[in-house]
Amino acid sequence: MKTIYVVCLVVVVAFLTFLITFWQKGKVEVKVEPVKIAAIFPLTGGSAAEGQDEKMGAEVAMDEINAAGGIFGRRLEIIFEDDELRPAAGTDAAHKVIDVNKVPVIVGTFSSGVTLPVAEYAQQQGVVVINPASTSPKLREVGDYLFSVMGLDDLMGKELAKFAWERGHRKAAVLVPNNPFGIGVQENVSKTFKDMGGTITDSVAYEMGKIDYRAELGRVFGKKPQALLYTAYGEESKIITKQAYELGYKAEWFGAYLTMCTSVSLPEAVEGHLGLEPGYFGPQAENFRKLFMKKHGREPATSFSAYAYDAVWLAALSIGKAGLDRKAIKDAMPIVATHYRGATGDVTFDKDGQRANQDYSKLKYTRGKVEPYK
Amino acid sequence: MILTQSLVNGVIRGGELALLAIGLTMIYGILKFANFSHTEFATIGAYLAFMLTTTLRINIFFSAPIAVMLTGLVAVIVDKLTFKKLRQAGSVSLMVLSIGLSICFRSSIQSIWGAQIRGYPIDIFRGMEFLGIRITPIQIIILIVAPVCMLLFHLLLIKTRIGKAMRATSDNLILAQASGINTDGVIMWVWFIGASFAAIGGILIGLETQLRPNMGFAILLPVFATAILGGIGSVYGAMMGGMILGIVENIGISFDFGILINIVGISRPGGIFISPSYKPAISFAILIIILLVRPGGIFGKRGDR
Repeated sequence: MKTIYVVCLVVVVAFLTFLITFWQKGKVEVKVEPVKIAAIFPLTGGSAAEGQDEKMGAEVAMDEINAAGGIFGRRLEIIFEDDELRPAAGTDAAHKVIDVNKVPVIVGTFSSGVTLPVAEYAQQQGVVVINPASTSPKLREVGDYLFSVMGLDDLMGKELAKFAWERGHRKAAVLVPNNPFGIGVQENVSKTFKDMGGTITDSVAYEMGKIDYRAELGRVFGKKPQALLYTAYGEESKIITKQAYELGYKAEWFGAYLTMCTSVSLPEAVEGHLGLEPGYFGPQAENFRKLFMKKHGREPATSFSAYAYDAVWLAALSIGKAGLDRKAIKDAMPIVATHYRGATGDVTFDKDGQRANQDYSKLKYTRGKVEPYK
Repeated sequence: MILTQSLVNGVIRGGELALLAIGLTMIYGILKFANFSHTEFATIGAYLAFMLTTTLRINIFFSAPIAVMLTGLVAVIVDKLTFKKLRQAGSVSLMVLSIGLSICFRSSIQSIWGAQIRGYPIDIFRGMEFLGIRITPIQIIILIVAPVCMLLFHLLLIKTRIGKAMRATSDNLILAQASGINTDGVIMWVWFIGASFAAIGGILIGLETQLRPNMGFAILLPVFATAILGGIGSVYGAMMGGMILGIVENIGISFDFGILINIVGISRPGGIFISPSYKPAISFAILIIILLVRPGGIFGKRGDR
């Protein structure tokens, strides 16, 4: 009896295997393998809103590229991975897409703290990383396989300090996340503000991932500064601004990357916040916004979507020019960037592969949305 | 003025720590093991209340008590399914089991509700200010709820039969068993009450701040410090320990250490402060100092350890 079952089972399995191989062969003959690249964004966690926005921007670029016929006749496919805003999760994702999916290009991530280890691993493996959003000056040191589409923070810190100074503030406190990004902003903003003759009353680098920041707030507002120069990741900014509102601290807030700070915050808690944002001013910007609206049915929540869009386009154009060889892609990147006019304007790289020119726009948050500051 | 504000913040924090430490210390007192999964009951309670308020649209004042009861039941069931089976296996096995369970709880919560931060759907209020102290309505609720819970628990311990049985079982399990006390029943009640208190603490923390799957884990070490400081196994010690740690933590970060340095003759403009990031470290410094003086904790029994 038993042998009959075994024979039956073997026959069935053999038949199924035959069917599946035959069926797949039939499919492969008509289908061309897509060109696969990877995108690592914080799709969950403290900056989920910004990460999702990046993903949406990347999808807009992918659709546009495929509608135009793809890359040398092959479709572009993006493998999205989640870094949870944690360096460890980001590195795991990088290992996966490099070792398993064997992608030639990674677009990502968001936080400098995550982009640094991801880019370092990609550098060892000779995989190109196009960074759409991280801005720590430390990224300059990673190596020749990392390209940044957004200008680094040497500029942002300086401009934010000037903004506060021009509004007449002479005593300011600084609040930033304790990671390479935050410390980069902190150093540049403090230095510029002091050089102009202002006083930094207190400077706090907050521990990320907590649910209570009252102690930090007590410290930065302790000596009654006129202005708070800050930056914070979406979910943490939500807690920080809410608690500051509840505790009734009074000072004018200046946010670096204001849309990140206000993306999920309670509107009444961030009412009147001023800040800076890497602008997207290129002639392509309007086109990008239209495509984004058409695909996702709403306006981009942050400017990071436009930078992710440009990063994907750069990846596709470089692969189109150089083929799938990683070193050739790396060498093609600066040339492609010089000729590309993206949604965020001129993305030309400097000698380190970092964006050479970056415009910032002054913004003000009023009644639930950010408006240009006049 | 800054010190009075710190004092108020400290009392609030102390209340939360004490609510969480009571269950931990009771379980240790009776079952003699360190339950690393205890603070996860705070997370479970907070998220159950979140679920009831958001999906079933029950007002938080009603959903909170329901969530507290449910968390108590979860603890009883978990005990029946896991801890009870290993009760004879010794404290190390139980402790390792509790570590495993805490990871299970945390990951389950994250897979259900996601890693992002959640908040109860309640309005945001400007804090009130009187006598130079800033306080929010939620904090006033905490200042009322925490002591009331502790008072009720105190009454339960001294006035009721089950309270008496708990104290007897905590003193000596075998003797209590021999005297005809249903120790299994007592243990069940201890799990229920301990987890419920943790859930109350978790909901209050969630109301005051936000919800995150790792909120229980994040407070685990301070809660252990609270229990040990008060003398592990002692319920009143846990209450006392919570207050001391909460106050010291908050005063520690607002205290200007520049004054102390000035005595030596060095002065620095702006004073010298401990960074708020080191807040948890302050509680451990205090813990070490007190344990050096009283190895059994403040309310520790004589001859303990």
